[in-house]
Amino acid sequence: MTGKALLRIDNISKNFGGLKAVADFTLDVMEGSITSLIGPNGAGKTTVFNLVTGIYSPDTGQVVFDGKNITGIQPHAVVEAGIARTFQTLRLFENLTCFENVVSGQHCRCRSGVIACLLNTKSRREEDARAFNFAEECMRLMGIWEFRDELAKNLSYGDRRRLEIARALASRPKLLILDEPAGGLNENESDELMDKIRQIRDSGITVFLIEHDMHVVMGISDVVAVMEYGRKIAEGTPEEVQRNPDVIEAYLGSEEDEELLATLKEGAMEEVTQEAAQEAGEAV
Amino acid sequence: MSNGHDIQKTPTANSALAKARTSRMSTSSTTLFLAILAAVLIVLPFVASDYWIDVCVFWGINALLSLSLNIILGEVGLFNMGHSAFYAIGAYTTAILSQRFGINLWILMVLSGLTAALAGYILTAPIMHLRGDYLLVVTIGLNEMIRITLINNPFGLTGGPNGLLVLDQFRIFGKVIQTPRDFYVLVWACVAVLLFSLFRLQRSRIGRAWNYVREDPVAAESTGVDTRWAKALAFTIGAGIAGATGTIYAAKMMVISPDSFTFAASVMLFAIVILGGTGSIPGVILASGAMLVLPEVLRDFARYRMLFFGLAMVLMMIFRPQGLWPSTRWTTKMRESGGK
Repeated sequence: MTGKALLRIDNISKNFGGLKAVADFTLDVMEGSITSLIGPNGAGKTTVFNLVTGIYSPDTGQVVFDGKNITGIQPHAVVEAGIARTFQTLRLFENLTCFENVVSGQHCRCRSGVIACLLNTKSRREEDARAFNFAEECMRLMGIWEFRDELAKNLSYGDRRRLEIARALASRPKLLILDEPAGGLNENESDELMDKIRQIRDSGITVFLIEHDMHVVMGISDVVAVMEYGRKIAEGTPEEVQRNPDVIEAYLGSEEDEELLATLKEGAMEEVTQEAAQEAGEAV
Repeated sequence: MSNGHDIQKTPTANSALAKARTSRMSTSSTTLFLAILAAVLIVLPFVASDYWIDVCVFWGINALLSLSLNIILGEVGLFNMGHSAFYAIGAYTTAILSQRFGINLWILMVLSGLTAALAGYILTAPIMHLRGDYLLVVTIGLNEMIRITLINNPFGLTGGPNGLLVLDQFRIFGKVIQTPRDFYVLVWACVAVLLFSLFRLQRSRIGRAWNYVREDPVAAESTGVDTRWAKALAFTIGAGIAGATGTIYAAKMMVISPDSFTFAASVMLFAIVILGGTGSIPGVILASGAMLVLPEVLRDFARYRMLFFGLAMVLMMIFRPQGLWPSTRWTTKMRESGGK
């Protein structure tokens, strides 16, 4: 991890009607780090990702990536700037082959226009060959090269997750944004995923992820930020966050997050009062 | 700190493999189809009557139009049910410029294509963000607007409901293109050129981008495809081809009127692409033929023929919704040292 912030999310807010989905959210993602964003369901984590990747544009605040203000630019331009993402609910090109899926990431790195494609020029063919080679590397890295000619819809859930990451990697990102990459994976698969994420980080790509699986979050993150009701309530190393009373408070009474609560309590046994634990027990 | 451009954890693929990937798995079956089609089309003028040659001329014109709509509807998945509008713009551009300035039809073919392409770009720019049924309704409106404008004879240009005469003819090396057989050669030569171009586009990054947009526009945008650009390009190219086809139609019919560019004609083109198999070039050619030839064959049944025709369409949609000749994806498998 270097001391430089690759992504600066500066005081962004987003309202949907009367609902404040994200309120004055600020976070620096350091270059070379694995940064996690956690929080109860509906806390606004995915909205933050959508604000960064251009799906929404923030009402206030700005997003600076690699020294460049990317606030409110089109999603495809965000990818071109060097941020690739995956989706919480997978969004693959279901009826295309896995290889075609991954090659899509290379689209923004290629320049051939209509004339070059019609004339089938040498530069177009070379460009395609380079794109294909890189797509192959990404697929091999994620261990899905054997499925290259399968239609994406025919893959198992875990392989589909890996395919989506491979597709994101194919755009040669500097920052990879993963929205619940371990969602729906079993323990073995998520362990494997953690290895892959570390491998990706070690190859020089900064990783920013949302995750509910605390085993994964605490296992790989350098920095963890916690959101509740659209606000950041804590930020620090996994250990610091686990001991933060605000964080524990945020998770109390939330049924969906009982597992998370259990993990948090484990890490912060001394801090949690007997009373709070009882309260949690009742809520569950 | 590298900028993330080196995931060199795996052996680099050799370029022969990469090259192989540019072809589609369907290449063999598509090649076979095109070979048979070409053989039939070459033999036909020697055995068929003028009547059937004429039917095949209209099949060719229909194929040109359907293939151009296939770019928009099949490749990109944009529900355009007003494609006749672009065809009309091309045909009227030809008729007006030919009547007033006597411009050569070959030049007019290019001009009409460019005019329709420009119209396609400008008219669809405000509706480019619409999806599915919304786009469909707006394009129907577009079609009607163009048709009604033509009927209203603005500035005395379009001749109103009676339309315009086109008295000029295509000439090549001093030979006038006049008989059904002449038009047959002209039309199918155009189809051949178009097919060649379409296959090239389909296999390039542009064709891939179109398919990404069709499959999931949000995912396409999020993997770095400028979806607006991809859609606008498809509309521009599709409209341009339809416009250029309008020139051929005008020269063939010698009189054009708003009746040829109705909503019903647009629906027919839409149905051809869906029945043929969206995005499938052989399928679209087959369906454009079936839509013309079948009603001719069924002519003996006189007033029941449209009933049969409708029934055939319903049965198709129930039993073979993917179309006559579904499009297939390109794969790497077959070409890797004999495959696995």
